[in-house]
Amino acid sequence: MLEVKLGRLELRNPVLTASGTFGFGREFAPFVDLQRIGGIVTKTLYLARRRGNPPPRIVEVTGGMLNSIGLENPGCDAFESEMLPGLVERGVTVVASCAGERREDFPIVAERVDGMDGVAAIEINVSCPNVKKGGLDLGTNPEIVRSIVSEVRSVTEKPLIAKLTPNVTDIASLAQAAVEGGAEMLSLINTISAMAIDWRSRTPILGTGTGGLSGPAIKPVALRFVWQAARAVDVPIIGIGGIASAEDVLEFLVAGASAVQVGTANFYRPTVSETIVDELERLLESEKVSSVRDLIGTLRVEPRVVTAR
Amino acid sequence: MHWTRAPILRRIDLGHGYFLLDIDEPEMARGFVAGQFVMLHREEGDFPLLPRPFSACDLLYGDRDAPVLSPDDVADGASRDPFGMRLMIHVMGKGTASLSRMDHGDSIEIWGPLGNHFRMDDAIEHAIFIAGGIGLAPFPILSRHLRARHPGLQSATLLYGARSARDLIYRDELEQLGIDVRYATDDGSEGLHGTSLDLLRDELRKPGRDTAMLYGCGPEPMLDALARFAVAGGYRCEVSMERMMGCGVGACLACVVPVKADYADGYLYEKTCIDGPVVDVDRMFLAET
Ligand SMILES: Cc1cc2nc3c(=O)[nH]c(=O)nc-3n(C[C@H](O)[C@H](O)[C@H](O)COP(=O)(O)OP(=O)(O)OC[C@H]3O[C@@H](n4cnc5c(N)ncnc54)[C@H](O)[C@@H]3O)c2cc1C
Ligand SMILES: Cc1cc2nc3c(=O)[nH]c(=O)nc-3n(C[C@H](O)[C@H](O)[C@H](O)COP(=O)(O)O)c2cc1C
Ligand code: FES
Repeated sequence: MLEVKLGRLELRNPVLTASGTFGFGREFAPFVDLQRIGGIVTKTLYLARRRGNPPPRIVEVTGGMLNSIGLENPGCDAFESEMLPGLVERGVTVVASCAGERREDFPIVAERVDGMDGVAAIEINVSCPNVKKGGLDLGTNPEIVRSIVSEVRSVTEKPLIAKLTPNVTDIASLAQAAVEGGAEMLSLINTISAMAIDWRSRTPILGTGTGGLSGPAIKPVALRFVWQAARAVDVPIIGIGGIASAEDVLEFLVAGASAVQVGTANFYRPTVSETIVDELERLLESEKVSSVRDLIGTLRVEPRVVTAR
Repeated sequence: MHWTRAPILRRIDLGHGYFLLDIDEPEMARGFVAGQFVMLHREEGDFPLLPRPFSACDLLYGDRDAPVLSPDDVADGASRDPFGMRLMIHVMGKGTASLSRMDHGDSIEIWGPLGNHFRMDDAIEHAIFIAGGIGLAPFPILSRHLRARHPGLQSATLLYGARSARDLIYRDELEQLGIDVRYATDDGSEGLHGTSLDLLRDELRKPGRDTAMLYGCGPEPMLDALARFAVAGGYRCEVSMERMMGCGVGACLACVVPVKADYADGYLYEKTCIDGPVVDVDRMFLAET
């Protein structure tokens, strides 16, 4: 009832956990049966360990949070030797999120991860708002996204997901560029560039000034992006943004996503990824839907008649 | 470590924004070691959104309607295992304000015990607890654990500093811990006119205290000063760090503190929630001042 196929990537259910919000899975082992969720996406990996931004790195805002973690990560070697084996042993579907300090680093990291048997797919994070080189946000430029994706495509056989930023006006051309570059799936959205201010001290609250907004507040924005991207390209879409319940998941599927990732909700309810799977099963049964696949992209957008009073 | 929805047994108001929450959760209470903490999240309306971290200040034993704070005080024949935890909370912002409106009959989402714990071993002869404000929270339970489990302990002293006399809380319970308690206030309204660090300088003049084990908890500037003092004087010292936390389980990377490491500029970040909250001052990366 819950199985989904995203091109070559088969998942036992459409509920994955989002990069940077689920550690390397083991952090949640006391709360969740990791085998029951569709899969986990790791914290974004660089080749070598990265220290990340100075604190404060998060702040709560209405309906969500801002973060400026700065892609602190343990690097590929530590991931392969210390984190991956435990996940493989448990039978967890692992998607490795990859990025690089510079453009040239993306294929180097992807090639390194390509050699890891336990990794089911690669998600390239061409969308982190917290790492910018010379003020340039690589992921907003379709040309750059196309070339990064195609360079990664040429070094890996694994199913390839491109994770897109919402910090653009035209998601369709960004999505098309990623697909032309060779992405087999798209995931969106990453966090929305945002800011929180302490007016008394006249300073931004985050150590880096700006950060990325996530959580329930961004769900309507994410739904709009997923809907637009799904209409622009033919590859499977993975919806991300503010998901915290099975109802949220179904909204994304109807909008055109074939699977979803749960992010910030893991922080405030560590059991949520598994309870969403349970809830999904119950909800489909009670609605007499025989497979989640029957709901994907079923949004009906009919012109509504506006009557003037 | 686990997640659950637990009943709140009672809220005890201590005035001036301080209160205690007694939580009924036997399994979590039995696993608790001094220094560890829990994350709390109000399920209603998800506001505030993120969970908040709190230390356990005491464990609850005996009768749920009239709990005692030590297994030695339970009635004969009753269980000597704790059935719950007592949290000591100071209202700081919207999260703690929302918790202060909870009471008997409410339930709360809670996960723990989380993090590492204070060092406790038989080599410790003199223990000195240095508390600043709500940093008092982990010391009642630490004092009880040390005294119950390490008979070699010759003395334990709590040096408790706060802004003003009315900010010195939980005093009846502190007096009953069976340890020395000394107070300091910033405004001189009670005890020494000064800080808990001033009390410490005094305390360390007593015989045998050069090998004392120091434990600190309080606001960051106080911990920073304590760490520098302990490192300079060669004292054994651990401090419990306070950090903004997003998850409490090592996933969000919000709660980091710099520790000495073989990396650029000599430090890397460690997560307060799983590598801490307790850090040995010898490992802390203290920036040059
Ligand atoms: C391991 C650990 C144990 C703790 N134990 C206790 C305890 O036993 N009792 C208790 O009252 N408090 C404790 N705290 C601090 C408590 O978690 C914060 O006071 C609380 O999260 C503030 O939430 P708020 O929504 O009320 O404040 P907010 O509205 O989030 O913030 C109000 C102010 O408090 C500051 N602040 C917010 N969170 C923290 C934090 N985690 N540490 C330091 N400053 C913060 C903010 O910068 C802001 O200035 C502990 C913190 C940690 C990390
Ligand atoms: C603290 C934090 C860290 C994150 N780190 C990463 C990351 O390393 N790589 C990445 O691709 N996305 C990262 N994200 C973005 C999430 O994967 C997700 O796209 C975003 O938070 C929106 O989903 P949500 O509203 O469910 O959280 C991070 C988000 C948060 C809140
Ligand atoms: S609070 Fe999330 S990593 Fe420590």
